[in-house]
Order: sequence, then C-alpha cells, then structure tokens
Amino acid sequence: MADTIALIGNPNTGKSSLFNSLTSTHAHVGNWSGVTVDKKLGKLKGANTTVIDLPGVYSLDPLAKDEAVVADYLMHNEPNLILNITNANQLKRNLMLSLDILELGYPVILVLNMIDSLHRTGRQYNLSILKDNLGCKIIATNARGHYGIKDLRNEIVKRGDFKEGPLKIAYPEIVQQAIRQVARDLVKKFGFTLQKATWLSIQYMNKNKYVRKYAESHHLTPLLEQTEYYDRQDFNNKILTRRLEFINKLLAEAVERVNGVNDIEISNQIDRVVTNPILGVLIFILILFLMFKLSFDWVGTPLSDYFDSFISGPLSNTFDNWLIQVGAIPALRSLIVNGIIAGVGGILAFIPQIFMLFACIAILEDTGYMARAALTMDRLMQVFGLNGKAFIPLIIGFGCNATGVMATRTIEQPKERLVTTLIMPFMSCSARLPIYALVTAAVFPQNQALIMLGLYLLGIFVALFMAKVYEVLFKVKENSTFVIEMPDYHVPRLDVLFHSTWENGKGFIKKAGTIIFAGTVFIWLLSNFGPAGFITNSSGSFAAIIGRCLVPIFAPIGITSWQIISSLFTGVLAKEVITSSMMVMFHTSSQAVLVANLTQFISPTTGLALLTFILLYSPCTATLATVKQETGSNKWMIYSLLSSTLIAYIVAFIVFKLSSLII
Amino acid sequence: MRLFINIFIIAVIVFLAAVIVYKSFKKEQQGRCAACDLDCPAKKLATNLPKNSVYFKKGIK
Repeated sequence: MADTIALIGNPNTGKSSLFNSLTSTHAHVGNWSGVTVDKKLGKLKGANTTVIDLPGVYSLDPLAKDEAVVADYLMHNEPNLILNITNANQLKRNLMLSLDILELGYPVILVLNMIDSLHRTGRQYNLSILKDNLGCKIIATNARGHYGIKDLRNEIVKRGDFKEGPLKIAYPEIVQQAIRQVARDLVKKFGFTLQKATWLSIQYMNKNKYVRKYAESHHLTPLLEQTEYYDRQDFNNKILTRRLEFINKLLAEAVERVNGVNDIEISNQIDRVVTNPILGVLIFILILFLMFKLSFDWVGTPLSDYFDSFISGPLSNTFDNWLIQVGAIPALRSLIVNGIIAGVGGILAFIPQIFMLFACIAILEDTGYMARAALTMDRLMQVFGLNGKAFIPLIIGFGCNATGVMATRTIEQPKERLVTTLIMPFMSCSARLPIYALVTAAVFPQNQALIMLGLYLLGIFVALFMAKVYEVLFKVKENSTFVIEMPDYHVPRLDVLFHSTWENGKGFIKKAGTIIFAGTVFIWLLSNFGPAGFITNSSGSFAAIIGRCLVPIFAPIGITSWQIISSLFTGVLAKEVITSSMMVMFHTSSQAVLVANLTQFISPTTGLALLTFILLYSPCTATLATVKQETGSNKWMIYSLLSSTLIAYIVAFIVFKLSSLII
Repeated sequence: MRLFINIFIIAVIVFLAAVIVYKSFKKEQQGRCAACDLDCPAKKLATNLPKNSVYFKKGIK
C-alpha cells in the first residue's frame, strides 16, 4: 500500500506552494489565508507516496467547517508522515498547532517555511535545539524560492530516525494523573492504542469540539463521565498555560541573532496606508478600476479585437466557402457558421480580457494585498452584519460563484454562512464579463472600465444590503471570528501568476467546448426553426415567439427586444451563453457587427438596466447545484433562483427610472 | 443522398449538444467539485479514487 504524507499547518504558511513543489502539481496558491478549503491530493515526485494538502488551521479544535477537515482526517487516518508546515517568522503561534500534532505521536517533520522572512528580521533558530526539544526532524525551507525543497524531499524519502513515541509536555500533576487514568480505561474498554488514547484525553480535556463530539457519538464513557470534573478544574487553561510556557522557553533558547535587513518597518508603513479605514477602501476601489482599465481598455480589448477580426473574417469566410464547395445545404451552413462559429468563436474572442482580469487577481493575491483588502473590508462588512471572513468567499465569487459558495465553509456560524451563500450570486463572476464588454461597447464605448467598476460596486452594495436584510430576518446574533494573517509583501512570481491565471482561465475555454457549444446549438435551433419549419427570417422563429410573449414583463425595465430577452434565459445554463446567444440571434460572428446592431436596440438607459439585470439575476445551474449541496436543501436553491431574479428586476427597474431622469 | 448526409450531420451536432447538456446537469446535481469547471489536479485524482475513499468524503456538517 502506498505511503501517505499529510501537510498540516496554520493558514498562509505556504502549504500549497510546498505541495506544488513536492508533487509537481499546480494547486491554487494565494498569498493569503483560506485558499485551501478542502483536501488536495498529489503524488510525491518519483515515489509511490500520496501527499495530502489539508486546509490551514490554527489548532485542531475546529471553529469552521474547513477546520474540521483536519481534525476529522487525523481521527480517521494514520498518515505515515506529517509535514507540519510553519511560518518561521511566526513560529510562536504556529507551534501551538505543532504541539497538538506532536502529541499524537506520528512521525513528523517540522518545516520552518518562509525562512527568508525570518532572516530579514535579523533572527534565526538553532535547529538542533528545536529538534531535541520537539523530538522531530526540522527542515528550513523557502517554498517560493525553492530553497530547502531538495533536502525536504530527501528527508521524506529517507524517513527513519524518528524519535519513538509522542512529545510529552510536563502538564501539572493533577492533569497528568487524569490523563493516565482515562487513557488506561480507553485502552482497556475501547481498544485504542495508548498513544491515541492519551492524545484523545488531552484533546478532550482541552475542550476540542470535534473530539468531544466524537466521544459522544462513540459513547467514550471514561471521558464523558469526567467532563464536569475536567471543566470545573479548568483543565483546558492549565494545558494552555503549560504549552505556552513550553513554547516560550524553547524559542528563547533556540533564537539567535544574525545580521539582516529589517524590512518590517517598510511593510508596516505600507500597511498603515492600505489598511486605513477610509483610504484603504478608496485604494481597493482604485485597484479594481485599474484592473478593469487593463482588462478592457489598455490590454484586453485591443487583443480581443484581433481575435474577433480573425474569427469573424478569415475563419468564418473560409468555413463558409468550404461548406459551399462540399455541397452543404443552407441549414447546415447556418448552423456551423452563424451558430457554432459565431457563438463559440464569439465567446473565445473574449479570452484576452478574461485572462487579463485573472492575471490582475493573481498579482493581488501573490503580492499579499488580498489579506489587507479583507482586513479593510472587515470594518465595512461589520456594519452589514458580516465580517472579513465572508469577504474571502465573496472575492472568490468574482471568479466563479460556485467556487465562492464552496469557500463559505470557512465561516463557522451557520446563519452567517447561509447569508454569505445567498448573497454570492450578486458577486459578478467572470462569466458575465463578455456580455458586459459587449453591452458597454455598444452604449458606453468611452467609459467601459468605469461602467464595469460601477457594476461590480453595485453588486457589492446589493450583496451587503441583502446581508443586512437577512441578518434581521434570520436573527443572526453570533458572528464568526475573523482572524487573518498579514503575509509579507512579495514581488509576484511569474510562474505562480502564469499557473494561477491559466488554472482559472482554462475553465472558460473548456466551457466554450461544452456548455457554450450546446447552448449555442439550441439557441440556433430556436432562432432558425418556427411553426413553419426551417426559416431564414428569425422573426418567425420559436425564439421570437417566446421572446415577444415576455416583452410586456421586460418593457418596464426598458428591454423590448425579443432577441435580448431570449438570450437572457440561456444565461441560466452558463452566463457566457448570453453572449453567444446574441451572436446567433443577430446572425453574426463579429463583435463589431453585433455592437453596431445592439446600438439600434439599446439606449444608454436600457443598457444600464440590462447590465444591472444581468449582474443580479438567477445564478447559473452550477452555482444553484452548489448552493443545494452546501445548504443541504432544495428550498434554498429555489429561493436563491427566485429571490435573485426578483431583486434583479426591482433594482434594474430603479436603475432604469433613475437613469431616465438623468440621461 | 446529399440532403440526407446534410440532415444527418445536423442531427449529430444537435444530439451531441443534447448529450453535453444532459451530462452537465448530471454533473451539477453532484454539486461541489463536480459543479466547478476547473479541472484541477485534485479533481483528476479524486476521479481515480474509490467512491468510499476517506480522502474525499464530505466534511462534517
């Protein structure tokens, strides 16, 4: 059977970076907490060993769903080796988790990652002292700079030479005696090994919620009967105090001064500006604006125009001519050229903009800015009954709402988690970018980035407003604890940026070949067939009939074009399909031609209402399915679909009326 | 014959689209990773693991 290595550590200690280095995979890496919310698996390079990357936790006592993953894993699995990844610069706090792990008695290698950060503060640790006191191997690494990775891999492959048995901390005699007694009973009555029984006892006395739940569900009576005694005697505080004493003494012995550049002051000065309550929010907005400028004005759109002219020009013409030569009938030519090439090709023309935006997000993550943004937004979000902990899933939701909903697992309070899940569809996911780009190019060609920024801010505002409403409705009284590491600032690494951008962006390309293709074919069928069969004039098609029936509903928000109304419905499959549907409906594979067509149907006021509706209306089926899975109920899935559509309609109506007064 | 081949190609494309939509819905019904379009290494490995594998069992509620 293959060996198993588990990576465990505090959030933002570089576990995912190490995981990637050890396994040659490219798990998403972010220079901020909460990037890993579930287990990730990989194979150790050149060995039949499975490496498991577990979410970052501060202790084995779970506060949130993702933190329970680690406790759950250790309760039910026995890895051959644990790599305890620590931030060398924050070792005191990181060792609290290390003690939890070392007491379990499995072979452990303690990895002092980010060792370069520690050296920059003018300190280093004597590894021999750490090794002797903790009873495990110690390796210093810098995963970003690939320093120490080779040594670590050699150490993993070599194994052996691990100290026998778990770490033994000299707890007060009263605690030790209780541990001995209960562990003996657990061994005798329940067949645990003494090692596991001792660890369970310490964790139980330390009020580990997961272990207490486990003891209840497995009727571990020796522990259950003593609960009151342990709590009355304040065992958890006694354990905590003795552990802190142990860590303080150890670090005082092990720390050594070296000559180094102290760059903490520079980092603090930057932090004072970017986390300022007012300035910080303004900087965040400015950064978003620059992102959109880069994606839509300066870099993304010019590149996209090249793609577009190639797809709508040489590619479409070549295919059309070839189809004529081989004797294709008009229906088949229409399906391939005006359907598939126009719809799928039209979407692929947006690749530069999408990738540019993902690259910008990757830069923000890798520099360490995202953690500062979360801290800044924490204050603002508290006004609306949420906290910075909800900010992280919401930011992930800007990439994909389904992934954002999954990331809500980091929020420990169930009601707060539900609120964050329900407001997630208001976060403008990247799939909506093509249709924004199209509509803004048609009605606001000079202010694309500004309108885009406005849409994102409107989405955030509606999300926060609804969070406040839900807070009152659901009577949310308890809030989650928000703790976030302030990582060191880094110069972004090109390979991390490349992989992060590619990993996020390739989903978009994959969708073009699957659901966008399928959506395009169906919208082509609907717009080229009617009660009279195959038609060349789409005004008699099924799409036109359905769209015209719905015009009275959309007329109050200014949308009277049946083509646009029919396209909106295909967005439930995937938001990108709205754009490809419009390409098909307007019989063009050229963005420029479609933009020209849209200007005839959409006024600036209608454009704003349409963009607002697209921003807020029903999430796609993938997000709805994830809402169902994460909430465990169909009810919330249906509620999410209906409420977001209703809210979209109301807000679009308000935007339409207000803009009609102004423009 | 030419008409038949043309209609046959159209039918194949439409059938393919229908299969994709059906597969997408089936996949999305599973939620979580299955609903996500990213094909990350973890997902690739997960698909090769036995269904009862403890590594990918659902987190506690």
